[in-house]
Amino acid sequence: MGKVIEVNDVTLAFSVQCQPELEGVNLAVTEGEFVCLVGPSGCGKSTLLRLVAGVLTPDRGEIKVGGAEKAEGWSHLSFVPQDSLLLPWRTVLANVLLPFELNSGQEKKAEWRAKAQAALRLVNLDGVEQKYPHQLSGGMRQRVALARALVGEAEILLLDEPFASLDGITRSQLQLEILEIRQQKQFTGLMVTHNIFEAVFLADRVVVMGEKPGRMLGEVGIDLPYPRQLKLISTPEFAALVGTVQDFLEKGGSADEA
Amino acid sequence: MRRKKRLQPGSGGERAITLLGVGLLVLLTWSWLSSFYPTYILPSPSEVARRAREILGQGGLFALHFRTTLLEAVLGFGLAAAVALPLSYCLARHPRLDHLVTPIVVAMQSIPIVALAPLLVIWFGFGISSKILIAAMTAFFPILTNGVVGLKETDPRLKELLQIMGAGKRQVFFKLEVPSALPVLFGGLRMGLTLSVIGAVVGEFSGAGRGLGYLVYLARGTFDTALIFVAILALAVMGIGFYLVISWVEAVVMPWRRER
Repeated sequence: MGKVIEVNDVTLAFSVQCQPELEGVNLAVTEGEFVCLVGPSGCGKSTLLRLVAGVLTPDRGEIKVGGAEKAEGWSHLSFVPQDSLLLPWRTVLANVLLPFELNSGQEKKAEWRAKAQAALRLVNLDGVEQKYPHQLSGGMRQRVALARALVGEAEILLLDEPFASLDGITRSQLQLEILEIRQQKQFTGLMVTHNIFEAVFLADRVVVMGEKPGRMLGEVGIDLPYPRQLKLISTPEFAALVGTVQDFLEKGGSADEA
Repeated sequence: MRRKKRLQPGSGGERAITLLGVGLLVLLTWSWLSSFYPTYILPSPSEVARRAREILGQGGLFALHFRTTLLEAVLGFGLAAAVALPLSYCLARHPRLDHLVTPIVVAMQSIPIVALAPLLVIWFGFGISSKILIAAMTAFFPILTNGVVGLKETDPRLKELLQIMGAGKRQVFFKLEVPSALPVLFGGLRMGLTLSVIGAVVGEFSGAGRGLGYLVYLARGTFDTALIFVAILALAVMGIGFYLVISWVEAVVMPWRRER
């Protein structure tokens, strides 16, 4: 299978005086793969995600998304931010319709609507189409953000700590939903998280990053079988994988991060 | 602990009773106080009501004054908004221009409009145009500053997200920057509308042939204090009317804030 995201020897510094944010970073994600980036806060993992999304350009190195160095339009790529970032003046439905409005030349309202409703069903949201974001709970808002990312049938999903601001129970609910959606829809995922358990639970492969400067410390293939259930986390295999990731982080010299 | 939703501002009936109670209290205090003073200093409520009936009976004369001030305020407000909103867009878009223009605007703002009004009346005459100009100048500043602040307030993370989704500059402006500026923008418009009434009245004080401000000016000369009260009440009614209209427009333009 082809490589969908390629990051080759990328270096980025926000200012000349400081240490570079990222130095000599390499990463490749193949089609259909779900990769989690873990690392201490400030290691530049979110920056790496923004580079892949195309809103930042590297000082050195190259980034290829979907095979091309700079694909025209990024409609095949969608983004799930940490704090849902819904437009507060739009209803849930209108928020999910936004990617269509921004990218399509002609209006196909009925078709869009059906797709948006399907996306909302996919994330288990029913009967909230006409509600405004502030009327929803944090978990529901994050589901809407997920639906917005899935609605356009994007091939690549970038997730920037999508569950970081949720409570524990909602968080594991959404983790299970992500796994379920992966069974139903074909997409390549790159997700940033600082939660090692989350990373091992969700990913096909966990890439470990270190800080100062942001760099790759190593990667761990997660060969746990699908479908994955919550009880997986209490198995010795799971614990062993978490331990391996932990080891990489500790060798990276950031022992204060757990 | 689960907290209840914030209490809704009282139901219609509750609100009406409160209003009525406060109104009654004010009226009683007023009429009690007025018994100690002659009418030309503090007319009683009944005297004011009598004067109001009298002038309202004078074949549309009062309506003419009311309409004049209303027109001056509305047109002044419209002129201010028509200039301030596009300008605020330019200033928000081009920080260099902002640095250049803002000191000038602030300097202009620090000149009391009351001092400027007679000059404008000399230049633009006793008619309605000088009042519109004065009202516009009074309303201009808050509309401009709120416009600039509102348009600059866009969440950069949202902007980035829209860019990732493939939004162009125009789309970012209309689908993100404008709607996110609306609440602050409306704060400015609300202030501007109130200020435009003040501007119109100040203009009429400086020389006019009609309008509620002119009526106050006229009544002062003849110690017709009851008439001053009538004009003030009329101005209050106008202010409340403006408030209701802008609240309604806000609710229509920003439906997502209604259910907050």
